[in-house]
Amino acid sequence: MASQPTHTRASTAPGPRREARSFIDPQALMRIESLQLRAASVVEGFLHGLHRSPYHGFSVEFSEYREYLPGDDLRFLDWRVFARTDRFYIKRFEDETNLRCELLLDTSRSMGFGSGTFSKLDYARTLAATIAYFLSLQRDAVGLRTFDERIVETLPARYRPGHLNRLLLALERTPAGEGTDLSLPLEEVAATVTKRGMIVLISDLLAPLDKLEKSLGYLRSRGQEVILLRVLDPAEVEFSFDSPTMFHDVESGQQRYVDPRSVRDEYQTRFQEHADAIKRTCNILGIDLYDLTTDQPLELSLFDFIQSRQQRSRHVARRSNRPRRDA
Amino acid sequence: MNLIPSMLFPWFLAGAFAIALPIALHFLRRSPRGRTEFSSLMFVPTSPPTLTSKNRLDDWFLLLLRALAVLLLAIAFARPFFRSSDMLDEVAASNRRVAILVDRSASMRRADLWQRAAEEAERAAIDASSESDVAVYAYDDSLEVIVPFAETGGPQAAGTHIRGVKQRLLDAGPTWGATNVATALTSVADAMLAWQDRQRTQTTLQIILISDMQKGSQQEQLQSYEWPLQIPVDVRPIVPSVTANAGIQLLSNDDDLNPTTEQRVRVSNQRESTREQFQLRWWAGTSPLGEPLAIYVPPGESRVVQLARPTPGSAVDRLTITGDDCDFDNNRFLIPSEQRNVTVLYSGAGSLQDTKQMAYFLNLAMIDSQRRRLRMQLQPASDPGPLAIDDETGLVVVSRALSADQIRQLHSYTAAGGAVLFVVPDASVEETLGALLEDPAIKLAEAAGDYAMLGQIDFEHPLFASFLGARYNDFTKIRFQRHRKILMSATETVEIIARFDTGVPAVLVQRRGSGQLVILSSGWHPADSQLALSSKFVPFLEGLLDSTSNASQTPVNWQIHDAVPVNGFTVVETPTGEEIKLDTNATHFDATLSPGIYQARLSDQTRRWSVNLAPSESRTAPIDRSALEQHGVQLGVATSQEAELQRARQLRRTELESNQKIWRWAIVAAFGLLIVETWLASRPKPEPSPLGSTG
Repeated sequence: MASQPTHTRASTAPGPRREARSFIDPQALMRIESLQLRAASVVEGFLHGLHRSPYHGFSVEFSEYREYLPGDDLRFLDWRVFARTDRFYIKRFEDETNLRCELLLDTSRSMGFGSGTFSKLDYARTLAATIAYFLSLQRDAVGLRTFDERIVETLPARYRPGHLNRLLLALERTPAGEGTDLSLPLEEVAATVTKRGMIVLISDLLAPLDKLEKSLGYLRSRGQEVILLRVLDPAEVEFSFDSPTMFHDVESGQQRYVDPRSVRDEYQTRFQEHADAIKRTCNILGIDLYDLTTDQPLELSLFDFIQSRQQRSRHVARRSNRPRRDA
Repeated sequence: MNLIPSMLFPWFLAGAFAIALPIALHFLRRSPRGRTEFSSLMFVPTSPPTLTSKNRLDDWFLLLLRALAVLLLAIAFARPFFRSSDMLDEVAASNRRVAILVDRSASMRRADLWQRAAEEAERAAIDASSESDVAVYAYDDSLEVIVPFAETGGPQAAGTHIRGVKQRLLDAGPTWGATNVATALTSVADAMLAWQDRQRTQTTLQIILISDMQKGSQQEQLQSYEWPLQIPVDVRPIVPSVTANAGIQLLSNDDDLNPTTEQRVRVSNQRESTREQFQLRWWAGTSPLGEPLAIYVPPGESRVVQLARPTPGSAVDRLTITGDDCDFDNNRFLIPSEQRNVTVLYSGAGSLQDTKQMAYFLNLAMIDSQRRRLRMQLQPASDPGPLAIDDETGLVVVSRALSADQIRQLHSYTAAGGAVLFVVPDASVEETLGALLEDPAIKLAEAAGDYAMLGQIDFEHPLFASFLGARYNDFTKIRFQRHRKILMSATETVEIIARFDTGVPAVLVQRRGSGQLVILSSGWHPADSQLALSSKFVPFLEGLLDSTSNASQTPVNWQIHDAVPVNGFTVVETPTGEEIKLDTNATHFDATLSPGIYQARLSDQTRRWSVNLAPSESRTAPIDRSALEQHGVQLGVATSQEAELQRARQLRRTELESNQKIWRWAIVAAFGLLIVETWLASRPKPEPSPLGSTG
């Protein structure tokens, strides 16, 4: 199984370079006790190599000058520069948005599995914290909802001092829940989140898919942008067990004797089928799906997140063909 | 020759089962080990525990090679060899001897010990006689042969040679003697070693010791003996059912010359004893004297008590202890010691006040002892009458010329056991000396020249025996300014026991009857020599007095098997009333076989002495057999004849195997196979199908 994350849409846009060699090892990261510190480590390390947004608009933040080309909007001509240099320059500003982002974190028991020193839930928590921290830096509003079979904790999307701390605190005290049922929490979210924005769903999606399409469809129909970050353990992907042993399902409590050598192929086939089904559903609904394994640096997931945002922005830009300015 | 394949260590062949082990493990079902938590079983199919592709055997040929290599290794370890059928029959059994030693000391008189010892001896004899030559000895402080070796050098038919061992032992019975296990063991071991030296074939020796293993066995003496390792000793202790035993020992007082009215008695109680209260009482014959004295001695300890002596004149003959379980050692016989008056008659020049004469110094040497009150009687040299010899005269010292009557008197005195010391005062007494020695040709001459010293001294002689030790035998400080040369024609009857450094005889002894005549060729007064001033003078006189029957200090308390001096006595009456006649020239009586009061008689003279058990015999606490081992004795049982033959055959096998060394070829073959196997296994194999190679 590929160790690189997969995403459903081919991206041709120039984005930040995804080279993992300078990133923080997740194992080392998880040893940091404070969730805020973890998130800060990831984001600041990430920002070091990040170019600013290449999309320019009419914003408070000046970006660069560019020579005037016929067809450019004359509003952006810098007359002072023209007066000094006798040349036409277009003044460019950073495209500034004000985003509402809802983080949906799956805390079901299956998220508690981890073949290494930390569980998927640990990873997912750090991921959520990282995204929240990153968005807070951009002054975007972030909310959090944790769920297993139902919504456990709700923190509405806000941008105000102290909100990030509350959110991190909520993440930290999130207990491992029971089984996974995506449909009920998603429907609840669809009903309560009325403002348009972005929904980031962090889950392992280890649940039957019959209702998933319908629930995700609700969200999309409300005009929400949905990004699905699927967190998996490498052992779940590769089924890398050796000796025959009694396997115990942490969600259902089921026990089964399994000889990994003999069932590995079939497991991987079934797993791939399930993954393909999710992929299909996301494609149909226009949802960005990223597969993340817990041995990948968190910065990469942040890349995925930002990449997904860029694609959205480009999509929107292409549609409006002008820089958007939401005040 | 018909060769039979054989193995030196056939049990190593079990190593060949190692072939089966990996195969069996390979086929064994893989059972689940532990539990694995997993996030979801929704993709995991059930897998019945079946044989997987890994369980199939693929490389039969390689497996065969490996199995063969293991088999060859197992064979190599088993050390194979070829032998002909008769090769192992050449070994022969050795000559065997078993000596059974039965303790017959007084402590074996307790309860039924002797009966049990006799039974054990018979059992051991019958067991051993099937393959060995058996002898039975009984020992106390000496060794007695009950059944000698048959001298056939091998086994006897059971029941012929050793028939009736038990009855013979019961008839012999235990003695009253002390135990000396060291003497018994070493004597028998030496005899067996001597026999072994005479044998030309291999021999096996064994001693079986049947004893109550009491503490007072004098096993310490074994330390000075290097025990032969080829003689193992099989100790078979006879343990008594009752263990409470207390022993008594009469102790002498510190100041022997002033006997107090109390007798010191040591009472020792054995460690295993169950009694603590005892009574001491004097007895005269069969009637008790006075009241018993109750004493308390805890087990394992001993106490010394002061016991009031019975009133003088009472015929006390023993002290008895009561209160313990074993009564064999409860009586202590004793003869109360009494001081006798002994007179030393001196006839010669000088007076008791004349410090230049011998009489003065002789009088000073009259020192009393516990048994003897010495007194000197002076008879002037001018007295022509008979010498004043009476019953109390223990020694006659003469230093003058004597008349014929006087000489006759002296002769009869010495014949009766008296001692006469004749000091040659000058050359004028030649005639007297000749008459005394009954050698008329004797010549006397005054020796000329410088002073002389004693040169050759016979320290073996009783007169000088007390100077035998290296600390006492230096006579060089005594100078003899004057001495007389004695020239004799016949020296057969005279013994020269000391000579001057010039070679001239200094001290001569002639035995007359049971007495003796001692000639001194120099006086002890300052004009003649420094003898009286030296420390040798008094012991010399004591030695002279001890040699006479009148003045001897013969002890009166003896132990079993001691030889008691009985010079001159003709009859000895034992405690049982039996009268034993003595030879006329018997000097010692050694049939002191039972404790009690003995009496020696010679016409009107009697002498009594007591005989007691050795105090060590009362120490009946059993010791462990390892006590013998600590003193070097090799404990154990000799290998049986069958085991010995087996060992000999094994030796023969080892010899054959080491000559043939087939195992080397097996190892070489195993390594060859392994090399082939390694080469075969390292050959590139066709790629397995992707499905079959998972895991």
